[in-house]
Amino acid sequence: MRGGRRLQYALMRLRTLLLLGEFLGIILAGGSMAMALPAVRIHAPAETVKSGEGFVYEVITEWKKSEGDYQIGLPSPAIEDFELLRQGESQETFVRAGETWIRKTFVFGLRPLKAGPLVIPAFKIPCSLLPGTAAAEFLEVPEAVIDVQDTPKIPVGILIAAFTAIAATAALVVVFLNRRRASAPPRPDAPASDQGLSRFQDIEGSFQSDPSGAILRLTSELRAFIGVTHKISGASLTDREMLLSLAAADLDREEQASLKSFFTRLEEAKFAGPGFSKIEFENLCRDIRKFIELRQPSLIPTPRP
Amino acid sequence: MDTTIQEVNRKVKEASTILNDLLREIGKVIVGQQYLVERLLMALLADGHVLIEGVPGLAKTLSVRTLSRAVNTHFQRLQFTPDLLPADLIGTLVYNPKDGQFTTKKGPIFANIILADEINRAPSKVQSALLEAMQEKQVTIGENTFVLPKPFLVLATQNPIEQEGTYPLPEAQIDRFMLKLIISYPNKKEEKEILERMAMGREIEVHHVIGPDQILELRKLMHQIYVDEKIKDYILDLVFATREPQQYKLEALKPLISYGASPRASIMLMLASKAHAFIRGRGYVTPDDVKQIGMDVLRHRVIVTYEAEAEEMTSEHIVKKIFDQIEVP
Repeated sequence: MRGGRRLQYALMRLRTLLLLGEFLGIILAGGSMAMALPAVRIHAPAETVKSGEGFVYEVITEWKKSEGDYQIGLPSPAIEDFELLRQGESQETFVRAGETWIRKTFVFGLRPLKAGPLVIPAFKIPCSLLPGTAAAEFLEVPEAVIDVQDTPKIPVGILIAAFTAIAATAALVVVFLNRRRASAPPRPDAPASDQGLSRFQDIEGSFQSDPSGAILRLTSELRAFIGVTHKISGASLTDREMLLSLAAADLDREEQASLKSFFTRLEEAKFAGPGFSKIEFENLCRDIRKFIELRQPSLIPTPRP
Repeated sequence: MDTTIQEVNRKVKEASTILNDLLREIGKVIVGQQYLVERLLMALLADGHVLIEGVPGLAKTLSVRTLSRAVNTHFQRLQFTPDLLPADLIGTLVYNPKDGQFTTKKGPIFANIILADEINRAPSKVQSALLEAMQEKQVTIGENTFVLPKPFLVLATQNPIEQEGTYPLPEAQIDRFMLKLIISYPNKKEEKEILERMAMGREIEVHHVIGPDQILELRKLMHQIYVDEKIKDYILDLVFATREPQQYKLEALKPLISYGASPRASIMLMLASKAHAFIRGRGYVTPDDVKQIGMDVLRHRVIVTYEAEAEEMTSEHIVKKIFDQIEVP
């Protein structure tokens, strides 16, 4: 009788110990889970930033997907010495050493307001496990030091003059390059499928800045097509003379009519004064391109899928 | 298209229908001289004069007479002979013994359309009198100056066959003609048509289509026709190529040209191109208008050297080479 009671008592004690141990184990496990927060690092310019120039400051958090789905609060760094140009965030999933990780990045476009070593102090970001669990944890974001170099001030008048000169030079260069491109053969190394389409796109795009040049380039394309397909060419031939030569060459009537229409529209665009609209030009460009595409695919082949 | 140019284009399209009616009316009589009749009309619109070179019997007189009837103008034919005097052309003062006064008798030049037949057969002083009237559009008889009627068109002819006993027009005087036309024989089909019309004893009546006032209105409209800068540059390139061919990669022509075309050629070429565009029913000039009329404007304005004559290179060959070389806009 006494032995049975001793056994019962021992079993009760053992059960209590086991329960206690389980409890401790749960606490310890929970504790270890609470400590496994996402890793935080920052990315700031390593080299000197010039005063007035923008740069990118990033706060990057990473964690293993197996740890759970963390919700990271929006960082609010103290950026009184900077102008906030833009702000954004992104999230990506990637694999590292066989494990799936999640990276959440907060991006800040900043511009320093003064020169010297400027500090973005350390701060905290709230973080919690989903779904809405217990008290949020905080991620420690280290401080960042941005070295800003002062740039000499230039008078506004000189800046405006310089900008005007640069803009005028750029416009002249564009016109010159467009004219050169119009007479230059396509790059031999460029794939044939891209050359024709890009030429027409270029012509369409150049109408805004140089309508006269664009119309002449479009005329050259049509004349080049006639030169290649019907062996009729000559810079001194008028459009009417080309059409007469085509008529004498026993050309298909429909094709003749189309070419006549194109030349009439081009003629009007070139010689009937200003007022040929962008839409009219785009339509004409499109019609000529389709016409050439149908008849001489090698000149403007359809792009590869 | 600009709205102003659009408006001109519309008016020219409308007016060109009248001109087509005129050409059709003239075509009832004249067969196979479309080129001549169109050029005469262009000269009438552009207020220019025409020098025609062609063998006898090509309907030069008939074309001009028919044109005159169709536009309801006064036509006068002048046969130039070696014994012609200036007074026979412009008129003179006639003494009236009854009242002892001189009265002015106007000459045959006081007409709207003059056909000066075989101008190279009359002496220089008669040629000068005519050419002065062409330039000034007025003549002086005694102390009085008389303005010639409007429109005023002179068509002078030259016979390329008979050169003996002729007085070739000086180059400076030829320059006053807007166009020099070379006309040739009709083809067989056209000549058969001529036989059917002319050798059957029928008289074909030509009706008035427009009058002199309408011609003047059409001239005003023609002057409004738009000429783009590129066309003006093209015209200048053509004319300058006759003066400095080496600048246009035509070095081979340099030893063949004695004198190139004058600034008057640039003016005439632009006016003639406008007239050509008008007849085609367009309110703007194209390079084709310039090229179509260019030979007629430039052939008599390029003076060739002896070297060119020795090589049998005419001014026409030279002008054609220039047109084949100069790039159209």
